[in-house]
Amino acid sequence: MVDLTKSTFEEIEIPDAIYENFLSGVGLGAYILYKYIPKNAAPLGPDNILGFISGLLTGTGSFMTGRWMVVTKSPLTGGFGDANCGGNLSPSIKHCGYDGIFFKGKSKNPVFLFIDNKGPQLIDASKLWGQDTVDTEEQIRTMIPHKKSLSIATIGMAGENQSLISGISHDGGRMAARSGVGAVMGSKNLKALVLCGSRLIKSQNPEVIKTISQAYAKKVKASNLPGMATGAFLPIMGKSMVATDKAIPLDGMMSTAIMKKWGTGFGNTMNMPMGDSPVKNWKGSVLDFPFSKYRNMNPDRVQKHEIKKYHCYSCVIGCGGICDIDKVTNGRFPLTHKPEYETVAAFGALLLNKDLDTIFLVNELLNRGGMDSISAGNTIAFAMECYEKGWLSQTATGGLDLTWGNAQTIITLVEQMIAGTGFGAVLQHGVKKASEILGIATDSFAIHAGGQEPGMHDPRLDPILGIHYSCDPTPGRHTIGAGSYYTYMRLWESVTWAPKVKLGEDKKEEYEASSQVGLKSMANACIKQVLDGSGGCLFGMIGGLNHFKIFDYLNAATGWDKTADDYMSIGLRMQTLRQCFNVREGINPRDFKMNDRLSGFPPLTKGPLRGKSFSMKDMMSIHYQFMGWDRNTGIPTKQLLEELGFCDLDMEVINHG
Amino acid sequence: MKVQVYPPPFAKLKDLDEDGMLILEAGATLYTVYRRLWIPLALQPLVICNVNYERVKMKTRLRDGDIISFILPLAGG
Repeated sequence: MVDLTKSTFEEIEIPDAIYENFLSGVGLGAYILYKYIPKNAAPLGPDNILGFISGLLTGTGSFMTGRWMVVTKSPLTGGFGDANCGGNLSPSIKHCGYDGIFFKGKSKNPVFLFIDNKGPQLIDASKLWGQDTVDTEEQIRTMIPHKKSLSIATIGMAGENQSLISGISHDGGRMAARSGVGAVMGSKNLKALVLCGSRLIKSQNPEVIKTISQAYAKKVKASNLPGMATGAFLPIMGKSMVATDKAIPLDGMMSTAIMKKWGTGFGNTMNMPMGDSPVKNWKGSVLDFPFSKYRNMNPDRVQKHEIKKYHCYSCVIGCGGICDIDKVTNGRFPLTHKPEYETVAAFGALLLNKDLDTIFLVNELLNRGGMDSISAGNTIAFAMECYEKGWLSQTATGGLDLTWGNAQTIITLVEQMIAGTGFGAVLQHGVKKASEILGIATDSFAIHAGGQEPGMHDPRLDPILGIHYSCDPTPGRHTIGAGSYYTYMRLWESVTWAPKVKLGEDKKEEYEASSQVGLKSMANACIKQVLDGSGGCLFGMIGGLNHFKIFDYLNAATGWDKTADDYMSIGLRMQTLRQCFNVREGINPRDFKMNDRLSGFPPLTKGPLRGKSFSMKDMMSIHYQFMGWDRNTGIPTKQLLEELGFCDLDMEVINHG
Repeated sequence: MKVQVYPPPFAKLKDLDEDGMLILEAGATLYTVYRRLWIPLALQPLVICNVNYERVKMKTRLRDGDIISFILPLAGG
């Protein structure tokens, strides 16, 4: 634990029981936050804690387990905040001899933390303050010339300005973007974390891990698209996916072929005819942004700029890429990370913007400024709807014309939001804050869940996704679970209580708050915690747990002999602790319900999702019930806390009185 | 013999049981599976199919327990 106020360091020994109960990653983070953050601490005050944590499986020889987690009390939602990212920071934390690095207090002046085998030290970062994330990394590498490459996580200007939608960047623009984690780092005057250790990472049964990894890698290696497969077939695939109301459990391994070719960009065009991509601040459909426009986002067009593919640590898929954008940005920036689907959708269809070049530029602006592209895109969409409805005049926007699809305005707004200047000062903290500034009547189309803007996947297509947007202790995230994820994972093959998805099952049943839906959403929530405790990648998980054998990996790495059901109980314990944190901090879980527009109120009148709606309130109730939380309030019950052994762990749990 | 099939969304499913198992005569090939699922051969260039996670030819003979997977894209980012 680094105390930035006192410039002191303390090593905290974590009892083995904590790992057995919460794993590492987000679980260890939840334990530390619950134990060490005083109740009602201000998220941007010195009492808040910011943690960078490796995964339990990271560095053990397991594949798809190299993600690092950031945890803190979120200034965006007021509750448990977490975000995660790939790259190589996760093993670097362990190479320094730690499972997690936590910060409390506030430094007088900007600093960064440097750790190598000799130990930690705080270094003045005054000259780095005001620099973007890419320049900061370059300058730190000049300041600390080292034989071994440095692993760096840093904030940009958005984090320094304590924008509530700012993230933490790594490896030249990869982002742990959600929950406003960058603002917390900025509030502590902490510019960067710089790691350069070389300690060994051990596991109990490396040979077993090697065997599992080889079998997985063999399948991934064999999964390739034929050379003739182009992006043109993706919209056809999208249409075929929604042509039937019957569930068709598919082999997730085959998706890796697509991921290997395009990364997440395959969704740029495939998700449009499905109705998965939100359009026009979630009130439009593909008819408002038809093929003639969305074809510009064809991932083949993105690939034309790609000069290099890359893998995160321990990844065998390699969905990342570096793109040359010198020409499309008129020499402003030479390179950018290949834009993820989320960014393309948030700055494409959501804003009715058909200009791919704008998206390349915005992608790099956000990466360098250190701002979440999902939240930023949603916020601009909200502003454009305000403008369309007459709630905003061109005078109020400082002369900006916020007409849908105005590419130049989008660029200017992103620049202003990062800098906190002009009309960007109104938008820099996300949709909820902007709505509070612009007036209560805008609340009906301020699209967020508990303060956090949702990912670019529509719950009207997949209602279980809406449950996770609304019920996760860190709301609004598309990476927690969905009905589709559940189907791909095939969890029922290893977890005794997980319901099997039968071939030909009616997908319409997922629009009702049934026990099947409750079990599926509970399973999603639990397995995602296991994944986030292990440092696992979402694309390993939804590629199928029949291939990505996370439970076997965990037993081999730790020497435990737990069943899949045991690990799911750990996931439930982790999720429940995060929920307890929120309740302790005064959050009413019901207040995290996503905007009604996302559950089809009012329903869309055209497009593939026309007429689709469901009761989010009932869905939340059924999820709470199956989690063992009070069906009405979402507060974990005493009985569950006892079953999960919170009392034995000497945890001061929430007061039910 | 029985093989496990992960069909594409546009396949006819009537010959598959709820677990996606398909009963075939001895000597059946991948072509047989296409026919039983009513996948038009004209669509073959657009359909990506592996047997036991490897590309094989249409005339390849299948064996009991083989896994036949058609490609799907999934969401995320």
